Formats: sequence, C-alpha cells, structure tokens
Amino acid sequence: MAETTGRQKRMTAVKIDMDAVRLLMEEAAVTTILPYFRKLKTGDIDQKAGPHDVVTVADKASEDFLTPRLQALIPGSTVVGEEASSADESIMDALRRPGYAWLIDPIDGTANFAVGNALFAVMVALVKDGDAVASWIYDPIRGICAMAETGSGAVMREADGSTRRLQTPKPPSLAHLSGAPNLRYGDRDFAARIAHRMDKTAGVMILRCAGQEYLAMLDGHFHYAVYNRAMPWDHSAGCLLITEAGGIAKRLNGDLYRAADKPFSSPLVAACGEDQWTWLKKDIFDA
Amino acid sequence: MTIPMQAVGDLLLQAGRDIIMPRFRRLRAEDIVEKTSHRDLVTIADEEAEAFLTPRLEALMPGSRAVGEEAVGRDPALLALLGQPGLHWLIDPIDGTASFAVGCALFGSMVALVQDGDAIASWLLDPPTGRLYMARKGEGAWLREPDGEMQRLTMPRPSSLAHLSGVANYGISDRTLAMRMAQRIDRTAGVLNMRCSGQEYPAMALGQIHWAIYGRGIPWDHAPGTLLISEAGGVARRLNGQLYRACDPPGGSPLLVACGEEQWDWLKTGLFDP
Repeated sequence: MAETTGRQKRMTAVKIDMDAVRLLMEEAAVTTILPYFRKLKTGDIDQKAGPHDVVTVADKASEDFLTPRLQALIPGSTVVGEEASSADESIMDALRRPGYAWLIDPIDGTANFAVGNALFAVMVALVKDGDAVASWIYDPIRGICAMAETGSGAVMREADGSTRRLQTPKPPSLAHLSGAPNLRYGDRDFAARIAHRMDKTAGVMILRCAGQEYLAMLDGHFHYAVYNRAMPWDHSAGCLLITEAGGIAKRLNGDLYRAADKPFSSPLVAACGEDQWTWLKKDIFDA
Repeated sequence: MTIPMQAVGDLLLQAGRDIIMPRFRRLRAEDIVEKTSHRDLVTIADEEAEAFLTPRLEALMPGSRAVGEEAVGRDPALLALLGQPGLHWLIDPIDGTASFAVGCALFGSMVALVQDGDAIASWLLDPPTGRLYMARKGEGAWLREPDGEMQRLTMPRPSSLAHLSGVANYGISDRTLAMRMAQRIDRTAGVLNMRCSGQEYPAMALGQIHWAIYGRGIPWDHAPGTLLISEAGGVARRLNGQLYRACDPPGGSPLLVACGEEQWDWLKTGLFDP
C-alpha cells in the first residue's frame, strides 16, 4: 500500500518555524479575510454542493495568498488547499504520498463568515507521510492562535503575544461532558440515536465551524465533538492539537485519525481524554 | 406609555462593562456555585449584575417591579407576578452562565419589560462587544452599535427548508422530538447552537441563522428574544400553535422560533411532525 511505503521511506526532518507560519496566517487574515467581513456583496458568495456549502471571494483570496508562501517554507513540499481540492479532488492524493504537504483551510466556518458571524478560523496543518506533524488554528477576530508540534505539546498564543500551554480539563463523568454532535452528515439512524441519548450529557454546543470547536475543546469550553464527514483540512490541525493537549482523536472503529484518511469513514470523535472518549462510545454512540 | 429605551440600554451596558466583564476569565473557584445540579450554575457576577439592575430598573418606571432570575431562584413564587396586571422587569443578568463560568465568550445579558403578561419592550446585550439589541412592541427591532449607530433589524426569509439553518437543540427534554429532528437535520442547511438563547436570538434577528427550538420556555430566557424576533418580522410560537407569552409557566409545548410564518410551517412539517 502507498501509505506503508510512504512511512517506511526515510525523510529528512525539517525544522518547522512555528511563528513564521502563524505570521503568514495573520497576514492572510488582515489582507484577504477581514476586509470582507460584514462587507460581502451578494456576488461575493457562491454555493458549492448546495445551500449548506458556501464559498466566498475571501476563501479564495486567503488560499491564493497562503499557497505559494507556505510552499516556499519547505522546498519540495506540496499544498492541499480546500478550494483547490474542490475544483480537483485528485489534489488530495498528495496526502497519501510520502513527503511534506501543507493542508490549508483558508476560512473554516464560511457559513458563519458569509453572514457576518465571528465564529470562523484559518487552519493550516503540515503533513508528513500522511500524518500531521505541526498545526495551527488562528482566530482572526480574537487574534488568538493555537499551535502544536507532534511530541512537543500544544500552546495558545494570545492576542497580547503571551503564550500558555494547553491541557484539556477532564470532567469526572459522562453527565459532566458537553459537546458538539455534528449530525448533518452521514447515517440518519446514527444521528437519531445520538440525539436521543443527549440527556445523559451536560449539554450541546455546535459552532458550525470545526476550527472554533477545536479551539473551544482546547480551552475546556466543552469536551467532545463528533464528525461523520471528516475532510482533511477541517480536522488535521485540530486532531493534532487536541492530541498534544492531552485529548484524543479517534474514530469509533478504534482507528486514530490520520490526515491521509478518506473523508467518509467511521465517525470521528475528538474528546478531552481517553476515558471520556470511552464513556461516550459506550453510552452514546454504540448501538 | 413612554418607555426609556436608551436609558435601560445604558444601564445594561453599564452592568456589562463594570460588573460582568471585569469578572470574565477571572472567576475564582468560590465565585461559582451549583444551584440545582452541576448543569445549573450561578456566579458572583450573575448575583452582582442582578443586584445592580433591580433597583435601577424599578426606579425608571414608577410602580414597576423586578423579577430577576436569581431572585426567583431564592423565591420561586415571584414568577407568578408575571401573570398579574402591571409592569414587571424580567432580568436575566447572565444568560449562558455555563459558558461564562468556563471563559467562553458566548453569553448575554437580557431584560424585558412585561405589561399584563406580555413583553412590550426588550434589551439583549452582548457584553464582550457592547452590541445591544432592542425591541419595542409594535415599533420594530434595532441593533445599537457601541458607537451609538442604530440599525433597523428585518429578518431575511430563505426560500426553502434546505436553505434554513438554526439551533437544533438536541438536549431538548422531549427525547422523541430530539431524535426526529436529528434524523431529519440533513434536510436543512446546518446547525449553530451557542448554548445561550441570549446569543441565539440576536443571531436570528441578524439573519445569521433562521430558527431555534426550545423545550423549557423559561421567561427570562425567552421573553426578551421572542419580542425581538416578532418585531424583526419573525414568529415565536409553540408547536401546539400558541404564541409565546412572557407569563407562560416554564415547560409546555416546545417553542419554535422562526424567521417567518412560512418558514415556521416548513420546519414544523419537515423536522418536528411525526
């Protein structure tokens, strides 16, 4: 299998300049995203798959800004951007080949951005041989950026430039967990079963933006999220962050999340800890 | 009757700026107390904001009386006042306390003026930004920006169920309804659930989302927002067809709020009817 060959092949490890990537994301926000926030005209917004799936001129401008600049940071790296991939799905194959690939979500939460709601984010993950090895989630409105490198932990850089280490709080029982059950996609009976059992938990919060949901989980605002459809640009950055912050990102079939995964697979459950993931699987998700 | 719309808004802003925001992300463990359970919290900021607003609102309208969330927590009989003749101030000093207590900015502060059982004016504040939403029965709904600029609010009405997104509250107490809604949620454009009606009503009034379903209908959570929605062109009606009233006792038929009558019907038929 291509994945196996990819992981066996030895790559020269590169030193990742975490702040250089963060600064590029900030610049993308200032020059290509924020000028459009609450100022979009009707013609600036397009539908992709349907009314639930929109894209704006700012998504395209942000991706166009980031693509060459990220690529230039690591010689030989490829770029997998959300908008480029929606025009040509084969671009995603780069995630399943050996080497470095940059995953870009130029605006995550476009449905919020397009209607003037501040719950959106910019996400970047650096993927090596199919797994994220570094990641960034930037919130242009709050000016905060969550960053992680495999094995080095996760940090939040605040708007004032200070940084703090991220460690997910771990509530003591299922009844204390609240989370984001994203049920719009996938199996309808699975969706119905989860909703039916939500009264066993502490509450529901769904932000229409995976990037904001990961930020919320990293800070303990809630404790888990479920995704039936996991596009790599929506989840690679957040899954590495949550793992490095002491949480877990695992599919219900037991497989750890990988950037190289196909979008539709076993449902992805990100949770604040291994115990909490197990409680959720047993009492909420299992048939 | 003259209602001091701007003066009430200014009081709410003052409570947000001077009492609530200084406590945000600075709460100590002893500042947070569980009321009936770990899902039902109150903080020192809730208590202080309500104590600040109660006498000041009563002083603005002679003969009016305040009914605050925390006061009702101490004396549940107070809630019956809302069904009595006269003027009552409904106060939700911090809606979304669960978020406020963990440092999440999705909370709100709300006030409604209730006359003879129905809200006749309301104010909803987003304390972190200072954006204030106001409605006056029969006159309309507005957003007052922190710089004082006023914007009239009129909700857009999307053209089909597939274009509607909203607050699918899977935690609603009717488990069958929750299950049915989740099963069919792929017929809609998406879900945004901010765990705080004080954020959700303004998002609806701005057209960022188009509907919400609520199971409990507690007056301080819903009287201010349902008036805002009605005055912005939407509808706040229970699934049994009754219009929402501030004096309704908590519970009852689930409250479905939507951007228009047609959209309310599509949602009822498409998501909630058996």
